[in-house]
Amino acid sequence: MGLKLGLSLDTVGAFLFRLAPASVFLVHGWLKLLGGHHDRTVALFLTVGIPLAEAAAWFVGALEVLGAVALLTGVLIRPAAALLAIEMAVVIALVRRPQGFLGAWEFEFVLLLVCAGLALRPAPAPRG
Amino acid sequence: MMRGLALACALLIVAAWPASGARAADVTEVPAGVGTEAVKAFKRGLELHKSKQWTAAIQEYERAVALGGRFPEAFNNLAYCYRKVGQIDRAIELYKIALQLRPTFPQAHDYLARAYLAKGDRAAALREYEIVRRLDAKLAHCLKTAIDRNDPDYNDMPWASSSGSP
Repeated sequence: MGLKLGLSLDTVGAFLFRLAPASVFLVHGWLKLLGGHHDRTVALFLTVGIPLAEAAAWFVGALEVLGAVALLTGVLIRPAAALLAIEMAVVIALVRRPQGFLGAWEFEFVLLLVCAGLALRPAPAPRG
Repeated sequence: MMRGLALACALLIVAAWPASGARAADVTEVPAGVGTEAVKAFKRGLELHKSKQWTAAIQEYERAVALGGRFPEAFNNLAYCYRKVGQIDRAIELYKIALQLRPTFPQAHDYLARAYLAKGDRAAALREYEIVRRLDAKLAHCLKTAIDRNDPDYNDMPWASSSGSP
């Protein structure tokens, strides 16, 4: 099914599928770098035992901002997505897992479901 | 395929960093999944806590923890009461649970530092102070004075917060 503007639903869905995480990473990364949440991030890293907490906080902030740009533009999208996925895996292992599903994850899953629903569509019916 | 998988992974686990800290900063908010019976027990504990009936408060907080599961305020206040009755090791253990549940919980870091101080572990207290300093400057100032005076109970502001986390 194509839209009148020449954009396929696939294209729009794929863009939204990238836009959602990109916007979240951009905002969170910006907050860590310049938005006043750097100290809180360092405190978190110190609490969960991440080494070189100060430097790690700057690194993670930069990774999130640059990763968001990569997701939006498509440039180096694969390594950026992989690095962000690794970062989030560390977060889940060190920070979120003890908090439980309801304590931390519910919003992220809603976001996932909404975006996946927009991005995906049934396979086309066979021509007959 | 790989690209889609990587994106799906990123999206699946996105936004888990608590950068906004909104939930962590708001200690009046009952965490998701904590039932009303746990909150009631917590509030009963808090009333006893305010009147310094530590043993009775411990019973109610223990009930809140048993009913509520992941309830950082209950663990924090329970630890506080244990510290007040001299069970420092138990208090430290409970503060650590509170901080697993809410790693940027300033009061729990503050009181954990005081518990370390009560045990004579000044170095550990100073490590916690470094965290408190980044989370709450006012709290950190009081804590530093307590550490300098080697007095864990100095100005620990049990009633300064209306949040339910004395």
